[in-house]
Amino acid sequence: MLIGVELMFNAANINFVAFGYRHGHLDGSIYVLFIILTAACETAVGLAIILNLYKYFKSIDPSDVHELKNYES
Amino acid sequence: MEYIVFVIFAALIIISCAGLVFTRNLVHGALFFLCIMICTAVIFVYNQAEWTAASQLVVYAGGVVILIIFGAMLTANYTQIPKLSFTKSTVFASIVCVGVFSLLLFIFSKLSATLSGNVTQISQADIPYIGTSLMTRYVLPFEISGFLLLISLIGAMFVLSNNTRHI
Repeated sequence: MLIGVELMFNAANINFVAFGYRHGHLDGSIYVLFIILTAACETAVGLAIILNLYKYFKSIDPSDVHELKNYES
Repeated sequence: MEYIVFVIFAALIIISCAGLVFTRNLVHGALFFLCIMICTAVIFVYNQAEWTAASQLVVYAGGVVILIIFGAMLTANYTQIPKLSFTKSTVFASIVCVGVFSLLLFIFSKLSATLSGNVTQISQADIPYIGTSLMTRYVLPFEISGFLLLISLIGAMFVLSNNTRHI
């Protein structure tokens, strides 16, 4: 799921670079730079959340994760 | 010649995406992802964005793939995803995907008809341009993204830290 999000970012990046090349200016590359940076942040936070979920639920399947807070304890 | 290289790497991206979607092993998926990132960097070079290709290689092929492999291996008994079950949501998702894909294909075929033939040459080299515009026109997004990187790293450490404190 997380890798799919990264793939979509990459598709957008290719579009930015290709259209920037087509129109002869380089601002597309700068947008791609910011997108790459945001994707790196997102991966770090997402992986932290996934590891925490694994510690708690012993699974990283999204359909097994159905509560935000344990109300028993 | 350049066009042949482009076609080869685009086909490689598509094949690796299919492999990534259909593999049942997270580590194999991460390796497919690495292949996709390297091919994307090649396509960036093809579009004369060398600096973007370099940062793509450093950030994705160096950082994000390593993070994903770590995640896959730390959740160790889960590297083998069970066989995908065919449910109602699968049908819905495939309908949406095919719809979006055909819409994009339609839009890009229209666009390529209007755009064909007039490639404007990029006059300056990209690294000096990116450096100066990051420090002049785009200085606010640059600072904000630096701050975002900082708080996301701190947040990731906080989420992962073993705090027994009850919030």
